[in-house]
Amino acid sequence: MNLLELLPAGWKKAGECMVIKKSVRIKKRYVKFRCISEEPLQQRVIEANMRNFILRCMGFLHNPYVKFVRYDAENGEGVLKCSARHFKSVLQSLVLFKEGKCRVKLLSSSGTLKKL
Amino acid sequence: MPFYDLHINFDWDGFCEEGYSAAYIPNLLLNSAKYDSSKVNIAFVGAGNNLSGRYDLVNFIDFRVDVPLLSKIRDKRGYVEMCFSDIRQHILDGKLEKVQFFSSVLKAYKIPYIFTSGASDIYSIKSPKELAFVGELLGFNQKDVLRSMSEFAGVIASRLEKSR
Repeated sequence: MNLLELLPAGWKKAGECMVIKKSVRIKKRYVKFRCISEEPLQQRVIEANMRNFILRCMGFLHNPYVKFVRYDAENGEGVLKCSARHFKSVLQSLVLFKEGKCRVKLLSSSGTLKKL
Repeated sequence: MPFYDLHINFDWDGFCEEGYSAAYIPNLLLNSAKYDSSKVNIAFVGAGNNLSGRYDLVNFIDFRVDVPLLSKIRDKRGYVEMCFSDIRQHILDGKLEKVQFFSSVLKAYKIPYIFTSGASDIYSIKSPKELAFVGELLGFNQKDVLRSMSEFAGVIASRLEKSR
């Protein structure tokens, strides 16, 4: 039996490693933001607050995967990654986000980190 | 393209950093307050308030649809205020559909609207692009929302500059 036939559709062999076809890959979007608050906030605090708020806005069935790529606690600037399918909803949730004396300002967005 | 925020509730000097050319503290026409030509006058409709006299913007409390009144505002060349702080509170209270229905009525009857932030502190400020995202959530086009904050708000802003 050929092991390649057992692989799920969408996979192809490229040299020694298996890669997912470009048409099947999850397309990502990167969002650059600045967190304006009274005191500098740690990454884990702001990340947890933002994730909870996005979950509250979008619900369990449509909750997207949001990941902090980098965050500078001193100036509050950071970059988060989300899927392109939920990109608009994530941006709308971030605009509505406000926790006490903290505000998220959207700076720019792009499909690649290099362009941000 | 210049943008104007016609409803903020505190003294804000840094509006240029957010992309605004000017921001105004309005005169709220509540409890028989009089029209002030040197300020943006916002009339409130609903919860016992009725529309009477002169006004610049009309704020519908609870986004209650009143088609004859909306048509009257359109005929008198008035503008309906879409205040972000009210919209945000309604969304978090689970009343997004009510606001979306109100927005669909504004679009269907071609009633001019102006988006404002209604900010009470520096942490409630929203840039024009951010308000455009919220407008898109309600069913408007981003271009139309930005146009409302630029072209329509500019009409009121230019009147205020002339009166000073």
